[in-house]
Amino acid sequence: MSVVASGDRILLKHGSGGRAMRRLIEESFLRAFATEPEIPAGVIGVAAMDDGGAVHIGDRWLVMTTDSHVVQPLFFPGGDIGRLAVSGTVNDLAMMGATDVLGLTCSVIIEDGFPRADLERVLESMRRTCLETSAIVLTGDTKVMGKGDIDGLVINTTGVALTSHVVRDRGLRPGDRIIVTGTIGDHGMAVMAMRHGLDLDADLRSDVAPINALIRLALNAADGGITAMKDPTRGGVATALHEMAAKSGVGILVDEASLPVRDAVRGVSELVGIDPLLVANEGKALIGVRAEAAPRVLAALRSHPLGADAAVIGVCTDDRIGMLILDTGFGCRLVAEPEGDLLPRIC
Amino acid sequence: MCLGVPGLVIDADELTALVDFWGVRRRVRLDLVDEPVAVGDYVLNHVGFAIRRIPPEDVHTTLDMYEQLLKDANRDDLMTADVRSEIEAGSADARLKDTPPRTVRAVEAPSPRAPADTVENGGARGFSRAAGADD
Amino acid sequence: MTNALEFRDPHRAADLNAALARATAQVGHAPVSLMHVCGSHEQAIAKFGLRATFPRDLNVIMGPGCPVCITDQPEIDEAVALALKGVRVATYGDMVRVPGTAGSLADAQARGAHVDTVYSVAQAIDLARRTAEEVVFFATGFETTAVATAAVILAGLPGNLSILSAHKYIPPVMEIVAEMPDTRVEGFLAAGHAATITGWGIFEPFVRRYGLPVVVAGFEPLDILAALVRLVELVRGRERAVVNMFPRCVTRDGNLNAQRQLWRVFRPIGGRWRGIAHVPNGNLRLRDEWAEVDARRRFTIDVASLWTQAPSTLVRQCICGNIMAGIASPGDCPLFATECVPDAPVGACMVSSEGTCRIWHQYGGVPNLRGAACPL
Repeated sequence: MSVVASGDRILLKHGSGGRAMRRLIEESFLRAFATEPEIPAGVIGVAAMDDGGAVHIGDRWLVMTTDSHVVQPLFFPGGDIGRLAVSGTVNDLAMMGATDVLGLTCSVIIEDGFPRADLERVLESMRRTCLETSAIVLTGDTKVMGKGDIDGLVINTTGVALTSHVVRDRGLRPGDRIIVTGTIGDHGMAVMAMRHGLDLDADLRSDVAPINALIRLALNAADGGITAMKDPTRGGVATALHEMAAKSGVGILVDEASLPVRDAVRGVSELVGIDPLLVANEGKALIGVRAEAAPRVLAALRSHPLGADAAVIGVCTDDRIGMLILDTGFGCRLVAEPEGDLLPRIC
Repeated sequence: MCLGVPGLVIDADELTALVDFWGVRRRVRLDLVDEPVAVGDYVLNHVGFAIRRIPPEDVHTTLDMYEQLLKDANRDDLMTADVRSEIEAGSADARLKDTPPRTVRAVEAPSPRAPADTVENGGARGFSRAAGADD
Repeated sequence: MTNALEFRDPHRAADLNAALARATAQVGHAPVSLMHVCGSHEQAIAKFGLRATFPRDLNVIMGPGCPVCITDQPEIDEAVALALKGVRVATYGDMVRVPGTAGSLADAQARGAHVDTVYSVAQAIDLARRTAEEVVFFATGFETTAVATAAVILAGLPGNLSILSAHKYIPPVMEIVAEMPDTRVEGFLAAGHAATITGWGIFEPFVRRYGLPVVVAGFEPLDILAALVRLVELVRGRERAVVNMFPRCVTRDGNLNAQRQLWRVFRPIGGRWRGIAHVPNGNLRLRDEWAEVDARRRFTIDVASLWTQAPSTLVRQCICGNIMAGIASPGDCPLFATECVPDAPVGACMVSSEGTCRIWHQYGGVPNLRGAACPL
């Protein structure tokens, strides 16, 4: 039964990155934008539902991606909506294998009455993040809506880059290793704690950061051994691995003890019963590698400050296709895709 | 909701305690505990209230109990009454030996199981079958 | 916390698993059916993947231990009616999506009602202090949670806060299960946190009357495994006994301070548990002396206006009641994972994070995970 087709309203859960959102895209957006009987050769379009789209030009691919950012609160420990906007777009390009950003756009919709100082703060943060990653904002758009007609500030960023080799999220094969580039759950837990006013004294902060330079190191070290990449944003590692497994036609078995999790994140997750696997990350990537390439990719990641906690966390299997299984050390359990509104909207 | 979580008290006054849970600190209310709580104690916390002070020595008692359980389970013969009472130091008195045991229906041994499938449609194989389901 | 981690030692767990397998084989019949009555036990079993390691001939059934799932539709309707009337309703996260007769609090929220999710009743108090509006705390949960509600009522609530109590009391439902004609339950695992409050002594009359052993269990993997070993041994020896396997938190008499507060504020009344018909003394309501903070008396709650549509046919196929009583499993339900999924739940078992169906759906009560192990 299709939830969305029978429902008459779009609900909050449809934006949360989980199953409900995926189904909305499949049922409504793909129907609108992917109706060509054949995708022209040399085009990766919406039907692929990858981190970006791409067009083959000459001997390279032009990769593009777009994101709208509606995070609340706008400013959170470790970052803000501006840094999130730039990092998110740069990272999506990197996940497609395009680590040299050609340019970004920046469109904003601002609520009437929004403090000018906050806008300046956000723009300054975007400027600094662009410098960090050698990306340039080339063009943009500015709109203001009435008070109450929009929630503070919405930023949309689009990015374009060129690459000679596109990395998809569907190339995993049995035996491939899954590497995560660092600790999981940091962003989602920090923002959730702040949103819900959880009265906790814990060192939670977002991991928001552009990781294209880190990914470049990994791609170079892998020398073709990277078979899939995806960044675990909304919906967390669980959602991303689910997609990779389903699209690749493999099962994924994760070793819980190998998952890098900061103590503060683990503590909060025990306290409020939310699994770090289901929570957003904004400065991390999941990389599928051929087993023989894993050691050198791991070494390359760990040589970079943003990859210091990189770890091999799992392996791809030829059974239980499309499933994500977690070995807890006591037994195994299936990690299901988080449903839409399990977690607050955080980016 | 049933989130009873143990934590270490790092500060306490009459009404509340600051408790450390895996590095996360949270202030909990002490309205419900039945004995005074001091720095260094462990407490069981549930929905923002400490519901029990956990004496540190009791933690080891529990682990010892599990060791004993394993030792006894490894014996071929059933446990002697002595050993039983040692383990049940926390409960003891509730056993009643004078009433006849409840009749337990014998259930025929299950037929050999089908090879384990990896996926069934909402099936219960591989997980406990509920009472009432036949073999 | 090193102490907690000792209760998660995989090596000890392997030993306990082996002991459990041997004890189960020695019982003399199969399957051996045990029931636990706590959503947190089911969460722990699912989270650590313990069912993949239990002996095949051991059934560990989840009984009616999910406090959200057994909150009856009319009780949800009361909260929804208040919310639609413009009263601000604060409640634990799980309750927001439980379907009543005509929608959940989340549905009311989508229609403009003000519903707040809180992690503790104290948070509801903070909320009430920050606003001039009337706030109602929709209080759900078993005795472990009810004591917190009692404590704040005794400490004094802000004038604009009242309590809609849908709290439940677990011990009576064990009797209901024991008396069910279809039941094959041979022993009970009792919830360690509830027993921290009530003590283990309250199970003695039950054990005497029904001859079913009870073991009080904690929530770490070792606690659960050790308690199951002990319970299977009691079944094997046909012993009527209450055994406390959670002595670091549970005593015979329990937490008298908490009990005093609980019974000063609440009185037990009989009531319907969702899908389980009448449970004598299973519901907790505010005593008359607390009428002033009782939302049922502060407001006129009109639920009839919600019942303008007949319940959908899907609801009639829902077997949550049987699942909660342990006589069916989610796989037996025609709606499970098809029409009834977490983002479109039909029954409460699919909504609550402690609900059997939700846990099976979330953690996968589908594949056979025996023998799966990560080679890393």
